[in-house]
This record gives sequence, C-alpha cells and structure tokens, in this order.
Amino acid sequence: MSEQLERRYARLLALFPAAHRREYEDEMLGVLMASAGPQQRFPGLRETANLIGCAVWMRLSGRGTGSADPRWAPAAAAYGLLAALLLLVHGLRVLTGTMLWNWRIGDLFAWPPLPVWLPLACWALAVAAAFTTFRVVVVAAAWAAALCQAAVAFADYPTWPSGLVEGWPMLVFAISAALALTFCGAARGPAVVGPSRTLLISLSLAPLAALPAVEMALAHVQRYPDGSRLIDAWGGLNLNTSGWSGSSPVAGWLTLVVAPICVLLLLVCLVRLAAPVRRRIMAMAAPALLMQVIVRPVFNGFLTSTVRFNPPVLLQPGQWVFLVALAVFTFVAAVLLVERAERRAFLIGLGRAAERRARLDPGSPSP
Amino acid sequence: MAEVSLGEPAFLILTALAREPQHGYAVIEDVLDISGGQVRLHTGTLYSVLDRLREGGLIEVDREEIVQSRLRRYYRLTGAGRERLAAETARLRRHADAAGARLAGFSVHPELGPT
Repeated sequence: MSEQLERRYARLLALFPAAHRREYEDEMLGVLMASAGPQQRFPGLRETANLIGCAVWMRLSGRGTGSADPRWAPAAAAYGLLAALLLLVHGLRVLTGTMLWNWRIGDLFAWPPLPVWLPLACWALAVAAAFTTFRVVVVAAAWAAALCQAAVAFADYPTWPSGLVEGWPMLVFAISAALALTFCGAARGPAVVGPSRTLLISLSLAPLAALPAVEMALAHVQRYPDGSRLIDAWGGLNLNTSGWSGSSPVAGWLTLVVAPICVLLLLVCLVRLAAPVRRRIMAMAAPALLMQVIVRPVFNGFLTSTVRFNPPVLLQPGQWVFLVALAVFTFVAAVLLVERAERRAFLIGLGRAAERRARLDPGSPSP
Repeated sequence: MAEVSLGEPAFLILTALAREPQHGYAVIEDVLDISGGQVRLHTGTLYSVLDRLREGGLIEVDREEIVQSRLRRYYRLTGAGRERLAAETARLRRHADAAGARLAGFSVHPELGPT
C-alpha cells in the first residue's frame, strides 16, 4: 500500500525541474511518506495542489531548471527571443501591409480585428519582457500569442481547412518559441545572443517589418472610371512575393534591394553565435523549417481539392498524426543528432590531445 | 536599500534551524510547534524555500544520513543566515511594537484581543 502511495508521490515529483529532482527528490519522498497516514493510499488534495503549484512556479520562474546538458537552456533562451522577434516581424508585415492595402485600394482605414492584433501585441510584450527579468511575463505572453494563433486557425478550420494546413508551419514555429521560452530556465536571450548582436538583429529585422507598409505607401495607384484599380510598386518593378515571412501584395525595387541585405545581416549574426548555441537553435527550428518545406508539396492534393467542396473536405486522422508526429519526431531526431555529433567531436578531441601528449613525451603511455 | 522581507515560511524555517540542525520532516514539525499549530508547511513549499535559502547562503547542509534506504539531509544556519534572521526579527518586532502602541489607544491588547 505504501509502495502505491510512494509511486503516486514520485509521479507528482516528476513535475519538478530535473535539477531540483536530482537534489531533493529522495528527501522530499521521505518527508511525504513520513507525513502520510498509516492507511493512506492517495496523496492528499492540499499536498497535491501544493506540489503541482510549486513545480509550476519553479519551472516558470526558472528556478532549479538546470538540465543534464547545461548548453540547452541558453540556446532555448536565444531561440525563444529570435523566434519571438521573427513572429513579431511577420505579424507586423501582415498587419501593416493589409492596413495600407485597404487604405490605398479601398480608400478605407479600418482597425484590424482582435484575432489579428492580439497575437501581435502578445509577441511584442514577450519580446519586450525578454529584455527584463520578468520571466513569468515572457512565458505568459508567448503562450497567449501562440494559443491566439492556434485559436484563430482552428476556429476557421471547419469552413477553411486549407488555412490551417498552410499556416501549420507558423503555428509549429509559434509553439516552439513558447516552449523554448518556458524551458530556458534562468537564461536570458539578450545575454546569450550578446547586446551588440541583439541590436544588429533588431536593426536588420526592423526594415523587414516595415517594407510591406512602405511599399504600399509609395505605390502608384491608377483608378479607372469603372471603379477598378491598378497598383504599381515604386520604381516600376513588380515582384509578387509570398512565403513564410508574410505575403506582400506589392513589392518592387525597395524589397529587392533592402530585404536581401537585411536577411544577409541576420544570417551573419546567427552564424557568428557560439557553435553549441547555433547547433541547438537549428535543432529547435528544424520542425518549423521542415514543415515549411514539405507541407505544401505533401498536402498539395488536399489544398487544391478541399476548396471545391461545400462543405470543404477536412483532414483525415492519419493526416493529423502526420502533421503532429512529424514535428515531434523532427525535433527529437535533431536533438539526438546534435548530441551525437558533439559527443563524437569530444571523443576526437580527446584522441588528438592524447596523440599530442604522446608525441611531446614519448615515455607516456600511448593512446 | 532595505532587504526584501523573507516571507513567513522562510522566517519560520530559519527560526527552526536556529536551535539545532534539522532534517526536512523535523523542520515541518518544529514550524508547527513554533507557530502554535497555525502554520503547517507542505513539502513542496518546504523544499522550494530550503533551495532558495541554500542558494542565498543563509543555510547549508550539516550532514547526510541514510535512513531506511533514503537520504536524510540535515540543514543548519550559516553566519549570514543568523544575521538575516536577527535583522528580520528586529524588523518584525518594530512593526509589532508600532501596532501594539496604536492598538493600546483602543484598549485592545494584541495577546488577548479586544477587552
């Protein structure tokens, strides 16, 4: 009977961060068992609520969250910050681009609806709070933003399933950002990335965020007597861009010149991060990147056929499993790959050091 | 700048450890005794506070034992912990004295309640 109770307490203690468990789990179990009544089979309600509350608080406040490999927490903090920044930029591009489009083409200025600006506001709050010590605010804002995005996508799903499928990579990206910010412990993104690099990344992202609005504001709009409009990008060149970073209805020379410079600057900043942090950031970004690459080709048939039916055809259970499981599997595979590659590099380093020692001191035992 | 208040659980734990080094379960029992049965620390709270106090250098591990195949760790106050407990006690006493003096005007005694 006491074994059952101990197992149940152990399950509750599993909610605590790994470092806290390593340090106190045995003691805590001892105290919990000593406090239990002689015939007690289940953890008490108050004790359970207290254990869950303390575990959640410890995780959110970043206390006792050291992991087996201490390099994951700083990388998660850096990834969380960068992903939140990119999601903020994406949201700003969509919001300002749409607003300016409505203004230039439809001559109407309308404040965007709540589902559009709420996630954006939450990402902005998460980014701003990441520069402070208010970790709970960062986590709460990131989850609010990710869940808002999910709620919007799932609310439209019964009538517009292709919207959810096309937006799946962004949803995966948003959830990965929220997860990274939750499990980064006490590490802070700006400190890991470095102040100057954070500034440079922000400076390279700001023009990307503003480009659709600027292009729309500078575009030349021709109005015809029948009410139709023709819009030309500034400089006469018209590129039609759409992709993960948000569609721009009008893009011309400005986009062609400024965007590649900004993206290049961003990539240089990422490449110059410490190698262990960079590798882990890639592992965390892998699910969203893979989804971006394969969702459209794999679901091409679904995307083209679903719109032809009324009501539209919805995803099959197998397709749901594919979308969810692939993201999880990719992350796990990427983590294992990073760990394995680093272990191999470590062993190679050891071997080389031993060889060097043997060369310098022929009397020492050979490796 | 004034130090942040310890909070009731941390204050009571430091008080419990001020007499002698104690293990977790003994601290819970001692806190219950000190508070006149008013404060029963839950295990999650106890170890969250112990972790914070250890990190702050106010307590440290005195010794470890294995009892019934389980680790039992005794904690003791450090010098910094004694100073902090003394400062917190003085702070709370000042507040209690101020409250007592003001309540005296209403013929209310903190120990007895309204008379």
